[in-house]
Amino acid sequence: MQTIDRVLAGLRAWLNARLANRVIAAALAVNILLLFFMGIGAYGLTHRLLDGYIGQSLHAKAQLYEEKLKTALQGLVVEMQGLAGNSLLSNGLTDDSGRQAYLAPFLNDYIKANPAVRSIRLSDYEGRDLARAEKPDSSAFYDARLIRRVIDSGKIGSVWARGGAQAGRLIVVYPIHFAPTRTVEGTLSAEIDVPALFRSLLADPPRTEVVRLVRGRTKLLTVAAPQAVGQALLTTRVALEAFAPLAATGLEVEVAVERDAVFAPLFYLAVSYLLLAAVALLVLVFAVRWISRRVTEPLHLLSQDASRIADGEVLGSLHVPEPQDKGEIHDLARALNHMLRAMQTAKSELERRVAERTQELESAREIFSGVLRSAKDILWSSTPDGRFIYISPAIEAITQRPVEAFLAQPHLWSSLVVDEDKHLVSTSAADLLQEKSGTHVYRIARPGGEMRWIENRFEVVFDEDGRAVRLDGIASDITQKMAAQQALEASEKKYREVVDHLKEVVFKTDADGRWLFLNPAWEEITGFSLAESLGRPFLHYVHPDDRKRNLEVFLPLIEGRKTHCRHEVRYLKNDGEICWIEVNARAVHDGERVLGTNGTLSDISQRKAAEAVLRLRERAMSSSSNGITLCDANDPNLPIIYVNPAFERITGYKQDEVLGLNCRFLQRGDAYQPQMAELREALSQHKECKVILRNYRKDGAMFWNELSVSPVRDETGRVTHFVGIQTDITRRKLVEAILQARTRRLNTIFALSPDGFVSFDSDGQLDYINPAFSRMTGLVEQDLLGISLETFDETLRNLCDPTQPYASAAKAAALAAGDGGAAAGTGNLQRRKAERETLHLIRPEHLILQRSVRREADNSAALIFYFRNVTREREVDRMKSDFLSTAAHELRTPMASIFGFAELLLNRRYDEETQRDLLSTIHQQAGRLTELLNELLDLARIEARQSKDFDYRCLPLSPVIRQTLAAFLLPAGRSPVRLTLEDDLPDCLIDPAKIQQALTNVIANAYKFSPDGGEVKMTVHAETLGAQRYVCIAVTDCGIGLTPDQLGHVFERFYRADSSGRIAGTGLGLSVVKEIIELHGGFVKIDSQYGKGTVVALALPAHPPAGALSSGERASTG
Amino acid sequence: MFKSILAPLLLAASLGTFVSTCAAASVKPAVYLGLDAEFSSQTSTSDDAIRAGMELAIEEINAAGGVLDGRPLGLRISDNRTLPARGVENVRRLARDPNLVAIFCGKFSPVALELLPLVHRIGLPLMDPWAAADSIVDNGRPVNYVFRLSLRDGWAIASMLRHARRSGLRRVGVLLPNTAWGRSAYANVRRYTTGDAALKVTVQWYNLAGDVSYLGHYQALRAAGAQGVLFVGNEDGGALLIKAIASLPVESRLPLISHFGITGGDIVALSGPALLKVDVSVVQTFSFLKYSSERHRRIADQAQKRLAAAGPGRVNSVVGFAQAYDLVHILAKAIDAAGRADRAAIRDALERLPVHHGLIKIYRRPFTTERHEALHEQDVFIARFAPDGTLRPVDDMRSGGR
Repeated sequence: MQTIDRVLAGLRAWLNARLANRVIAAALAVNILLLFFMGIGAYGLTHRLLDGYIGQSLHAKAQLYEEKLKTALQGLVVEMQGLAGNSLLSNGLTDDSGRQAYLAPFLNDYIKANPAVRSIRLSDYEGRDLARAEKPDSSAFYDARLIRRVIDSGKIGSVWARGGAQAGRLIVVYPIHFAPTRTVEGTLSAEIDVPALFRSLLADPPRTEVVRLVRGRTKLLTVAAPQAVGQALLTTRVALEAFAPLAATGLEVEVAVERDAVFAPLFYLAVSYLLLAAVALLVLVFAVRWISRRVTEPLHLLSQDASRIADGEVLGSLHVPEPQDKGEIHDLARALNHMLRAMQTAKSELERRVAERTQELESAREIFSGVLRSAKDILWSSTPDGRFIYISPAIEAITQRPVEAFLAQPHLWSSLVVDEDKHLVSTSAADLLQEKSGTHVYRIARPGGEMRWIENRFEVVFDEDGRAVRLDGIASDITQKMAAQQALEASEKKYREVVDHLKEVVFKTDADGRWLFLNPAWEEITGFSLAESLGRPFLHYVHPDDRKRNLEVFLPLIEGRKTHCRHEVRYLKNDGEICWIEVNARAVHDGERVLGTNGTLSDISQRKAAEAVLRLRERAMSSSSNGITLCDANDPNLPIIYVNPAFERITGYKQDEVLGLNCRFLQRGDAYQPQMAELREALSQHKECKVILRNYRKDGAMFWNELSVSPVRDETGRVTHFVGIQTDITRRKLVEAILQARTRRLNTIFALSPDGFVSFDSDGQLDYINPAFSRMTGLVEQDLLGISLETFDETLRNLCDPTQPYASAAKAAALAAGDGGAAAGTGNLQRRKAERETLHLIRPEHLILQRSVRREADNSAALIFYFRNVTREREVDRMKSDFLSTAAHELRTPMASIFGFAELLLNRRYDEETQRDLLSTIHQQAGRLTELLNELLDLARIEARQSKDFDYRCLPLSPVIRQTLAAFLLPAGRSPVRLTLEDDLPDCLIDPAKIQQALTNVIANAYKFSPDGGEVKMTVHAETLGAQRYVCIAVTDCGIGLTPDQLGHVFERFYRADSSGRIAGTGLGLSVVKEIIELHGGFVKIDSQYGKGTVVALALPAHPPAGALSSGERASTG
Repeated sequence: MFKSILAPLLLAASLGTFVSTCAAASVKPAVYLGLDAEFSSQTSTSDDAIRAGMELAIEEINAAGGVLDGRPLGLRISDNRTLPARGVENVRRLARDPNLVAIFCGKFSPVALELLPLVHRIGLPLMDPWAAADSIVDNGRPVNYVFRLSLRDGWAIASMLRHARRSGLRRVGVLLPNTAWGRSAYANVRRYTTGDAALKVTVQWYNLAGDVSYLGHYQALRAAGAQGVLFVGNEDGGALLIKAIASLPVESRLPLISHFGITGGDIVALSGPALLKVDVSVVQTFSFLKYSSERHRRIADQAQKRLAAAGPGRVNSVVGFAQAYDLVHILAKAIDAAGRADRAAIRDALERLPVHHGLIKIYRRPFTTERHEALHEQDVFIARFAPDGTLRPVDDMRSGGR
């Protein structure tokens, strides 16, 4: 302990001896800490990086295994989905007695071909077993609730089997959609042995790691390198991504490696670091000691100078010596000297500014005193209790008393107020303080008894605490102003009494046209109150159409170009009516300029109305489009005494030519018209009458004249005149004829239209259906005519499928009415399309009709319904959707693989071998996808063009076949096709390129489906079938062959006889072949024996084709 | 979908009829007939036709005072969706009502065949107005509870083969469903062609539910040299087959002779224009066009009204309507003859009924102890579709008079 104490005391003494020692000690301590933490950090970081790298590497491997497992499992699940759609299973549901004969072998074949599928069972709608196939170690697991759920929902369900040995069995249950009812009537349950599937994917056993398949806590499968078993392990897990159509499986792939092998290099790295750190510290000690001594010496000197300043030496005499060497010490000394000089300068500047401000204040005070002396108003200031502090000299002129008297006597001012006005003044100081500010007007008496009017304005001044400190005010002498005001009021009173009783409005405006004065007559005429009108521009009350004209009259007055004016304009009244006003206005001058106008407004509305009626009648007569004649009834010849311009236009005669004549001159020789007698009868009996006559214009042209004649009677009832109204209805007659012809044409069009039409009249009763509608609905016109829209709705509803929503016709009509209303008033027939509705008819036949409704806008109750048969379009749409969904299904599987493996390659690094493996999978799947798309495009093109782009030529088949064989790329190790050609083959009408395509597909299939080798033969011979001679090309292989069931499907698109996936293909090849051969007028036949081989025969009609290839027939085969 | 919604509505409608009838009879409980048919089927019209025939007959019987001294007849309906398993379950449920005295089946022979064990175990008469498999009636039970007023496959096959021979065909292809019905028909094909060197037969099987194209089956028969095709199947398969044949060049289209199953739906609508391109003959047992009496005209009007048909020759599944109509009237007589709503007594009474003037014919004795078929082979005839969709009997092809 003593030794330690001595060492510590020695250390303390060493530290206190010099600043340099303390610097050395501090630097040493800091560096030791730094090296310690750097060492710890570097170790941790390296450990972490190594751990991360190993983790990433393991994760990448786990993801690779996961992707492989996902792809395989998805492929299997999707394939089983296809199995559930097999028609044989649906058939089995209806065939209780016979299904065992074919279902069990069918399912057994299937599970034999798929090692990972342990069992398959077909159940009915209640989950009862109908058929099953299983391997010996099947779990026999059965989940009735899951099956019930799948049947109810129609969606695929899955569950894991329970129990140790079968823990890795995934039970997938597929709904079976029963075609006749489109309901789910059974299920197909498949038991998939996931560990077995996973093991089959691990082609090579792992070299260093352990691979496990795990679900929750259960290890389903462990595959390990021998040396890794039993060691502490670094582990990573990757969960199997959920994929359609299954939900999350809960599966995880685990990959692990030995921990010790990974972290051994890290120990050697740590020891090396410690040795290097010790050497670095030793070097540091020596370096810091030398540096600190050099640095601390000048500081000591500077601290002495600073002490002198602190001791209070005079600023002017102080100067700190600056060292010669540049550096922080030199800069510090220099800065200190600068600071001292700046302090001296600031002090002098401050003293100069104080002197300047004092002088400015004195000068302002003098100016203010001069202003106060010259002011006529009294400026005053008093204490809150009423004693004057200051009064300006003007008080002497106003009160004729000296200032000093008011300063000496606080109540002198209030004593001057005359007795009558004393109540106007707040005499007590408290009252004034209460008011805070105000103006008092009152009279005071001068010593001689003369009264002066005073206006005293004051304001109370408060300090920061809200207490009143004084009152400031101005008192003015307003005696002259008060006298003038009283005189003016008296004059105005007289003037107003006169003006208020005038019936005309007396007005005055300013130069901007604003009302300055209006008498009460304004209110009587316009209804606007004086209060609201004064101050507003007079134009505001003028009718908008007359404002421009009114301005043209007003502006010359204001501009001085005229002295007065008189005009008539329309004014607006408060009740919205209009009144006619006669305006008499005169400009008001002040000698130099126009100040405004004054004058009177007289209401002349009644006079104007009477004038308008007269003018209207006169104009109506002359502007009428009908001819008007006036005949004198006193003369037996009824001579014309007046005709209007329309009469001149219609007949071509001028007024002068016809005055005095009887109207019969218009008939020329055509006097014997049936309606003439009726006209004569009416005239003789002085009755009104209307007839249609053939009349003739001056140029001889005939026109149809609709003539109305009325007698005119005087006050005594005697007929004095006859008025005749002529209307030229020639055009109307023509239009009627055209309309009748058009109606006949339209009826024919409607009768021939394939679309249905139904119309309702304006009373809402059905008035027309066309034959097409009858054909669609089986309803006949006689049964429907006169029914209401609601009954029609009910009739249609009865024909419709009750499970489909029925769109009410009445509702559609109401909708159309809403649309039509917005466009009403145009006068044309508005036909607006209501929303298209679809009706699903089940009687008299299944039809889908599209219904539209249109409404006549000017006759809102009349309706036309339009029905179009869209059954075939819908059927084509449905077929298209079916095909697209199948095609998409086929495209999805390769695309999922490409996406998954490409994603892995993007996100992870793999060794070259694994990369090549992944890329070859992607390449293979992309190739499959391309092949699929090419064949789909071929098929689509062939179907769409229907052989229109085929280049048919009459050719011998032999060269085409030989070229095809020569161009065919033989698979490695296979012998070429053995060709047998019959002599004297007839020519065929073919497109050689298409035939080559079909042959290539057939030959490629023959090689593909004979994977174990064997010869492929082609024989070509001529054969007569019925009346037609054909050239038959038969391609025979010794391959795997087809079962009878497979044979039934080979021409279906996407159907593949090989379900194992070992043989590449798209399932479209034979569809293309069939399309091509059938478009040539031929046919394809396939014969096959399972396990023995297949013969595909293409038969092409020999030329001449006996009409088989006529364009009409080819079209009909599509 | 359509049928699944319709079935409860129909049930409600029939219950409504029942309620109103009950109100009229005020106290007496109804005697019920059951009908288990394929109401959910998207294409079938035979279910509606059978129901309409039954309802018309029931209305007539109730209007005439009902059965058993004033008890009304009522109808209870269930939907088997064409599936035997559902049919058995439905009948088991309906039979719990002691007032239900007989069950009518629909057109699906597999369903009727699966009902046999149940109806014989519980002693419930099974009235067959359509299903044609021979073994439905020839079921080997000592006490047979099945009574059929319809076609038998044996007669249908014989009639179709006869028509083929008369048409000069020497090689026919037969297309059969892969079910009990198809196997029953196959046995009859073998029976009627064995030893006939002049007529060669090729058989092709198809799946009754789910096959989406029949072109492959048809081409296989053609490739085997068939000059005509005999088809045993229903309207959905029939329509697909007709469309497949119509899609081929004219010289590739063979004549089609069909079992009356294809008229179990609206084959005219389902086939569309294709029907006019194919030579289709079909076996029938009844057509309104063959009769001109006032009674037939009245009932034809009712059938058109109830089944929304454009004419007496356009009534879809008209044989189902007529057969169900006659069978209900015969059953009502048996109920009265039994004197009580006892199933076994009614079964016995059915075998003892005297002459009945039916819609299809005059039944001398509808059923006997030995014979549970109300129709005879002579009642079968061949019909063809006119361009307007009317199904017209081919007089010269009739295999026998009435």
